[in-house]
Amino acid sequence: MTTLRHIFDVNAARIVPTRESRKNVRFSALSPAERENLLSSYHPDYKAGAYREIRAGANKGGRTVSELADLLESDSPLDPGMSLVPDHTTDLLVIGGGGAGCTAALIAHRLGIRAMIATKLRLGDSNTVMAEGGVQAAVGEDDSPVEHFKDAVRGGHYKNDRNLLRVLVEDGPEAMLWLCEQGVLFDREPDGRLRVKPGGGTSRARLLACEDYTGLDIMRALKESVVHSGIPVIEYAPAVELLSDGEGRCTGAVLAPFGAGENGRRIVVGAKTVLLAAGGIGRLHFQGFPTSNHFGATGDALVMAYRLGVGLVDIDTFQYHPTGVIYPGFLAGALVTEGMRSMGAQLLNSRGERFIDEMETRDVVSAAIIRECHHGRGISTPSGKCGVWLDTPMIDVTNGPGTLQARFPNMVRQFTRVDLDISKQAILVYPTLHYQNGGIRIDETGETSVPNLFAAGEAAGGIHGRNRLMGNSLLDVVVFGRRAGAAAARRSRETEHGRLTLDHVVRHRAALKEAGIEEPIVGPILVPTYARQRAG
Amino acid sequence: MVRLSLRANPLVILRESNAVFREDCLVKTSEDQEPPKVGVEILGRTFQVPAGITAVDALWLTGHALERGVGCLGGVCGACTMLYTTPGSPNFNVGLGCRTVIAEGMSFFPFPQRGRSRCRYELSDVKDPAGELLDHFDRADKCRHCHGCTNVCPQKIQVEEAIELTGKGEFAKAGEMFLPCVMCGACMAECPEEMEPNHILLYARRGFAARLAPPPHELERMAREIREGRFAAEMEALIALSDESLAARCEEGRG
Repeated sequence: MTTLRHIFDVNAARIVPTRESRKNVRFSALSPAERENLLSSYHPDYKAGAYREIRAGANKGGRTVSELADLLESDSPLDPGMSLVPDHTTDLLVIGGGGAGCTAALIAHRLGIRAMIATKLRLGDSNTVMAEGGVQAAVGEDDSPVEHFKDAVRGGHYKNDRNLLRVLVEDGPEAMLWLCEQGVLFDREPDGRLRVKPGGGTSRARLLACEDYTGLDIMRALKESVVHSGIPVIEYAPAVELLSDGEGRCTGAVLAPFGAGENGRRIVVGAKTVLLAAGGIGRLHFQGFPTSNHFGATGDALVMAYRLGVGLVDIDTFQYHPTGVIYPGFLAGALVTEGMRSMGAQLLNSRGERFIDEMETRDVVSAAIIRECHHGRGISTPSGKCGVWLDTPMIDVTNGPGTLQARFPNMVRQFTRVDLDISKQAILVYPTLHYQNGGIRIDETGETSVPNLFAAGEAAGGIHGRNRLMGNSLLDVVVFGRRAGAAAARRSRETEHGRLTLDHVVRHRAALKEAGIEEPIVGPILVPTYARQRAG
Repeated sequence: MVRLSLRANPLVILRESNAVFREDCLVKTSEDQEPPKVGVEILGRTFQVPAGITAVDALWLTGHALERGVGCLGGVCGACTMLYTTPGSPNFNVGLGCRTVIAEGMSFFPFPQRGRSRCRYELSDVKDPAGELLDHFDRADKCRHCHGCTNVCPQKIQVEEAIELTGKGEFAKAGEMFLPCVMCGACMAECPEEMEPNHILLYARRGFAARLAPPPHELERMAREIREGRFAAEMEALIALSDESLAARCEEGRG
C-alpha cells in the first residue's frame, strides 16, 4: 500500500530544500475585505446548499445546516404520559461530565449545594480532555482583558455577544488561578514564570498550556476532584428530555441509560436547577466532514433546550479546524494542534508554496486550504482524499532540534505509533469539524430564558460570535462553568422542587404538526448515526 | 416514525465524507482501492477485516456494542483500552483501541473498566504533598519493582520509576513523567501490591501544581487588577462602540 512516507518522498524535493529560506518568514496578511472574500467563497458556513430553514420552534424562520435542522425538528423518544416519579432528587442536576459540567458541580458542591452529574459516557469523556493547544488568559505585561476582548471579537467577526465576551476575558485570570488550585500544572519558563505562546488571531502571546496535553491535565484534575468530593455521578446515562413544572420553569430531566433498550428503564431526576453542559455536535458530521470531536458529541443539549422553548444563537456557523489529519485513514479527523503553527509549522500546497498566513483565524485558514484543494493545488491520498502539507519539521528548523518532541509529545506519540517521524516529514491535513460556534442563548450568569435552566461550555452560545479563537473554549468551559455553578447554587437555595411534567413535549409535537413536519426523526440521537442515509 | 439506528459504522461516513470533495482529488491506483483483508480474533471469534483500520473500527465493523469502550477517539481518554496478543509472542499487550492498528493474527478484547481509587483526599486540605503521601495512599511504599506497571502502560510512561521518584519526594519530575497518562487503569490492574500507581502520580502532579510549583504571580496580579477595576472604563468604552468603530479599533496595527 502507498504510505504517507511514500507520498511525502515524492513531494520532498519541493519542500525540504526551501525550509531554511522559509524560516521566520511571515506570509503576507490579508486585508479585512480579502478575508471576507475568501470565507464567502470557500468556507463551509457559506455553502448555501447545505443549509435549510428551521420550520418550528424558537428559531423558526432561521437557517442552519440541514442535519441540525432535522434534529431541532425531531420528536421526543418519550411518552408524555410516562410515570414521572423521581428516582433521584437533587438541588442541581448537571447534564454532562466534561470540563464545564465538572467545574459547575464542584463550585456548587463547595457552596453547600447538593449537585449530581449525569453523563452519557464516563465522567470526563468529553471534548475538554482532547484540547491540546492551550487556554487563553491575559497575563503578559503588555496584555490585558481589553486586548483579549479585541482579538476575540475580531476573530468572531464582531458578532459576539459583547457582555458575555467581557465576562470571558475578565473572569479569565481568576478562573485560571482556580484551575491551578485544582492541581493543573501549566508550563513554566526556567525562571518559574508562566510560559505563554501565541495562537491564531491573537495579538499577544497569552496561551497557557501543559505541553500539548492541556485538556487532559485539566480534565484529569477536575475529574479526580469530583470523585473525591463525593458528588454523585451517573455514567452511561444520557439525558433525553428536560422536565418542567408546566409553568415555564425547568424542574429536572429524564435519563435513558444505555443498555436499557428502547422501552427500557428511564431514570427520572427532580432538581431545583438544571445545567446543560453536554457539549457540541461534531459527530453529526455536517456536510460530510470528518470530526475531531469525541464519540458522544451529538448536540443533545441543543435539542433538549430547544424543545423546552429556549432560543439558540449563531447555530448557522461552525468551526472547521484547519489542520485535521487526513492520512493515514484511521487518524482521519484527528487534530493537529494549532500550537504547531504558532511554533513555526507552515502550510504548503502541492507546489511546495505557502498560501496563507498560518496565524490567521481558523475559519480563514480552513477556507484557504479548501481553496487550494479546489483549484487542484492539493495533495491526493490513495483513499481519495485531498489535503495540504503541514510542514512540522519547520518547528525544529525554527526553534532548534528537539523542540517538536519537547513541546508536542502527544502529537509525536500519535504518529510514532504508525512509524512516522514528524520531525523529519510533513503531514497531510484538511479541515475537520471541530466546534459549534453558537449554541444555547444564556445571560452572564449562564441562565437561559427558561428559569432554573442553565447552560455552559460548548452547549452555550454567543460568546465566540462566528468563529472562536484557539484557547477560548477551555477558558469558556471554566469561566462559564464557574458562573453557572455559582448562579445555580444561589437559585437552588431560594427554590423549592417543582412539579415534574412533559407538557412541553405535547406542545412541541403540536408545533411540529402545525409546521407540516410529518415524519420527524427521534432525537437526541445520543451516538453517531453513521449508517444513516441522507436524502439528496 | 423513523427510528435512527444506534449502531454506527464509522467507515461508511468516512467514505461518504470523501464524496463531498472528491472532485478536488486527483490520483488513485487500483491496488489502493481495495485494501487487503486481515484475520483478527475478537473475544475468541475470527473475523476478516480490512487492513489499516484500528481495533475500535474492527469492533464496529464486526457488530460489537459501542456505547461502552469508546470515548474521545483521539488517544487521550483511555475508554477504549484493550488487551491484545500478536502472533509469535506469548505476552499480553495493552493498547488504546482507537490508536492501535490491527495486524494479521492479532487477538484482542476490551479491557474491563476498573473501579475508582480506594483513596480519598481533598487537594485544598493537603498542605505538604510529599510528607502526607502515605496518609492518602497507604500502599505507596509497597513497590516490589516488578516493572508490571511500566510494561502495561499504553502511553509508555516509566511508571515504576516515577513512583520511585514520588517516594523520594521528587514530585516535579514524577509529575512531568506522568503528563501523558490517560488514566486507563492498566497499571492499577497490574500492580500486585494494589498501589494504584496512576492515582499516586496524579496526586504528585496535582500536589506539585497546587503547593510546590512557583506561584502563578502573573495571574494573581492580573486578577487583582481586574477586580480593582483597572480596565473597566476602557472595556465599557469598547463595548459601547458601533460595529464599525469597534472593527476599526480591532484592526489597528494588524497587517
